[in-house]
Amino acid sequence: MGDAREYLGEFEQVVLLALARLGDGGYGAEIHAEILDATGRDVSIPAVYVTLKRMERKGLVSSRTRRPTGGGRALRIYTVEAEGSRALQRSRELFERLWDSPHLDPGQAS
Amino acid sequence: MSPRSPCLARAILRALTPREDRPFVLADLDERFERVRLDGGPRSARWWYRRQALVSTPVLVANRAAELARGLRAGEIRRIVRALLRRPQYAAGVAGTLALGFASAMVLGGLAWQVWLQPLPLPDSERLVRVYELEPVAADGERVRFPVSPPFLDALRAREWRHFTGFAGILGSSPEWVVDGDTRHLTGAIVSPGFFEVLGITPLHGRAEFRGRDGEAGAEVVLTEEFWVRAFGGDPGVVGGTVHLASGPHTVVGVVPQNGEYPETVDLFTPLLWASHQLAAGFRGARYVEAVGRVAPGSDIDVASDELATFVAGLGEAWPDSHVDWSAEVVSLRADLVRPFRPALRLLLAAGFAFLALSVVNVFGLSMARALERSRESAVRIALGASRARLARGALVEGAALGLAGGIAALVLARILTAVSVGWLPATMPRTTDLGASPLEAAAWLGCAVVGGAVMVALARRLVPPADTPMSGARVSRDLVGGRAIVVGQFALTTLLVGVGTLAIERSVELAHRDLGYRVDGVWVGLVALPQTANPDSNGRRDAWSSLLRELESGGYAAAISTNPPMARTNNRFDYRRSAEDEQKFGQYAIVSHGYFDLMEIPFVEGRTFTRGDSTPSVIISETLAEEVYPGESPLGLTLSILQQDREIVGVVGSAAHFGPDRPAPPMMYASYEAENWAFSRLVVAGGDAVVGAVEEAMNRAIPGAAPVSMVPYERHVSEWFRPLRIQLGIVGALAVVGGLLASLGLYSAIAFQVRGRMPELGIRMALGATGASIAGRVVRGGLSLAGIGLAGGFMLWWLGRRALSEAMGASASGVSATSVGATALTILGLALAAVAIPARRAAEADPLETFRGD
Repeated sequence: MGDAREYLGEFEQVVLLALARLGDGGYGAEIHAEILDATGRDVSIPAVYVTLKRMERKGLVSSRTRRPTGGGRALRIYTVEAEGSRALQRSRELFERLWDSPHLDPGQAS
Repeated sequence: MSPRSPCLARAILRALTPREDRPFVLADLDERFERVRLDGGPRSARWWYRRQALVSTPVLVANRAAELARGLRAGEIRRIVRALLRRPQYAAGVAGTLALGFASAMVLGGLAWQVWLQPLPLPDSERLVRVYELEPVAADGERVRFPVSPPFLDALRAREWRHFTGFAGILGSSPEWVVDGDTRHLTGAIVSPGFFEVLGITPLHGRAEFRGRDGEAGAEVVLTEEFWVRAFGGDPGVVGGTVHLASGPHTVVGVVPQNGEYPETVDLFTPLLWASHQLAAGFRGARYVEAVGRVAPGSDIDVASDELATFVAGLGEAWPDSHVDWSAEVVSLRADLVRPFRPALRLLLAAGFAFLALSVVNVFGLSMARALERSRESAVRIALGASRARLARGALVEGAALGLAGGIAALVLARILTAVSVGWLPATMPRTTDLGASPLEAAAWLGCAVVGGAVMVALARRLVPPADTPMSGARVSRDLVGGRAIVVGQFALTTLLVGVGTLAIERSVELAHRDLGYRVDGVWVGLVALPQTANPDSNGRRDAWSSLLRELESGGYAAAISTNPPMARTNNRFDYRRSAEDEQKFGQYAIVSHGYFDLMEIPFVEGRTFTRGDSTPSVIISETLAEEVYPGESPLGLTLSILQQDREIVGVVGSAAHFGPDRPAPPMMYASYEAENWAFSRLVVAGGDAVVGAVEEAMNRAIPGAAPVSMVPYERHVSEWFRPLRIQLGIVGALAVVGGLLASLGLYSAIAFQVRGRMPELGIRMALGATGASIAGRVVRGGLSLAGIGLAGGFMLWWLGRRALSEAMGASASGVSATSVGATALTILGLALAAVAIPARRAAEADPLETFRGD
């Protein structure tokens, strides 16, 4: 068994990928909207924050508070860290290896 | 203006989201809420928000728990436990109060559930019913229900029913087992064919049915599993073998399991097979067999009752003497078993959960006092860098530890109380063999205590903020208003309970000293049933009774018979009237022998008693009847019509409290057994313990073949009569003790909270010259005034309920008395004084220097 940090949970992958898709970081509502647009899943915003916090402790993402300058509200912006990108890559490779089988045809798998 | 998100959902999310994330999470939710509103309208936006709350709640709760577990360190737990040990009064107060409340709910709630609500452990038990015969509605509106007669049961069993699948009968018995020359007394039941089938009891070995014909009625026996294991070591070979009962050898035909609830615990069953004369018309009025039935699948009790009512109406036409205007009642067996205890069980259930609620409130009060005491310490810890989350964690751990201690104490206490209550409960209360919580239930109660303790202590800490200045007097007063109201309510409830308790004690003492109108000490009584050999006709029965009395009298015993002696649970209600034109009235009818009045010391008012050989259809009446029917004149020589038959009145005797000391003496009519006699009667004998042996010998000589007679001291009947009152007293007493303890703890916590909050003020008062005694006096007065208001409220409740209390305690009882009011007031004020003593002493020790240091 490798280090537990090498593996991402399903919801962690979803949140981390959505954050990565936003490019220059994003906050909870943006991540929620991205997941909804990309997957159709209407996830819980508090659950997104709980997951981001857990991943922050693991060093996969980082956060900063952006204070409003010309009005608006304060935002907690999350960014994917290098360790987060590596974790996503590892997860992808893991699944690709698992899918790489003559018995599994993604187009025909039931 | 855009619509707002749903309040409740928002409040839940606000409460559960970690403080540091809260503004961002709520703002993000608002942003998305607005987007959904623009896309789908306000309705779908609100639904969306509610769904967010619903889906997020478990995630957020789990996150909180994980945060708490992460934040705990062994050192911190040790520190919290040490802090608790430094405040043993507080720790013991919280744990003890929780223990009291949870133990009350466990024992009282468990008892009510087990006895009252749980289905019987028999297949499809909700379809099992009992059948009663209901006598015609009398002029006084009373309608007494009776067991059924042998012919009635026989007719029930013989008929094809649409809404019943079957009926069976059962009678209690006391068989004697002869083994190795010794005679052992067993508990038995005589059951009709089909009894086990109706109940759905299948045998463990052999068969659960009797095949003996009339002539072999006593030749078969079915053992219960418990007796089979106890007496025969569970040997299956016993089936087919023989057991020797006093009445002769019996073949064991089967072994059946015993559920301990219904039928009541017995050792063995023997068959109830009627002799032909017992099914004749003359026995239709002999209603003494317990009938059970099973309602057919798809029918309900109401529909089945209608079918039975039609059947009984037909009996009235066929047998007008014994059935006209009679009806029948079908009641659920489970409900009927607990019917006499239902009011008490309802009261216990309510009391159990009321005490649990009161204990929770008191724990909260104690926690508030403790939180106030620690508010300055909390401020110092925050100043030194401790986070609020850490303080909250500490409060949760402290509360959980106290909850755990209280929960364990509650389990132990509940076990002790259950063990005690099993012996104290009336033997007639069914389903009390398996009281006590199962391991799963105990774990659930313990979990509730832990969570409850944690939540209450944490909530109290949250409501009392850490502060470097004491709370203002106004704040303390405001917080106290709710606490005071609860304390007042608790004292009102306790006043009511103590009041009812003292009233019940007073009533017991009064009844125990009331003149019954007859003698009970040194008198024995037992039911004698003449066997068929001694029961061919009226003359045969008279000779058998005479022979029995002669045998006893020749042995030096004063003996008599009565078919209806007082307080023996007999009820022979006959109608009477002075003449055919008069209104029909009802009284108790007894057939007695000549020495009955002397033996029972029932005094003669006028006229004469029955003499030996007196076979005229005369009657002796009681004083009550004489005053009612012949006011102002002597009834001697006049006639009284009993069951439409004229009898000459030859004597008047004193009135007897036939149904117990609390009921008015009914009109009594006594007839001589030499003029009229029944096959059943109570034998009454004066003497000591030797009476039992003497009766056995006399029975063997005078009435060979008769069933053994179980003679019991008459005082036992009186004691049995007092049992419900003693139970009532015990219940109220136990409730009053728990209520008193909780009320005292409530007062203690409220006053302690108040004193803690006012310590700076008290310090200033001391600096200005107030003495410790004067300050302690103020605190005591404050506490007593709360208790006093509660006392007044309790008295008011008592006064309002005095009529109901009077009815509950007996028609002639008073619902309130000066003695009980005085005793209650003293008890309540004593409790209040004990509760305020500690806070008053603490207040008297207020230090002015501490106040100025704090400022």
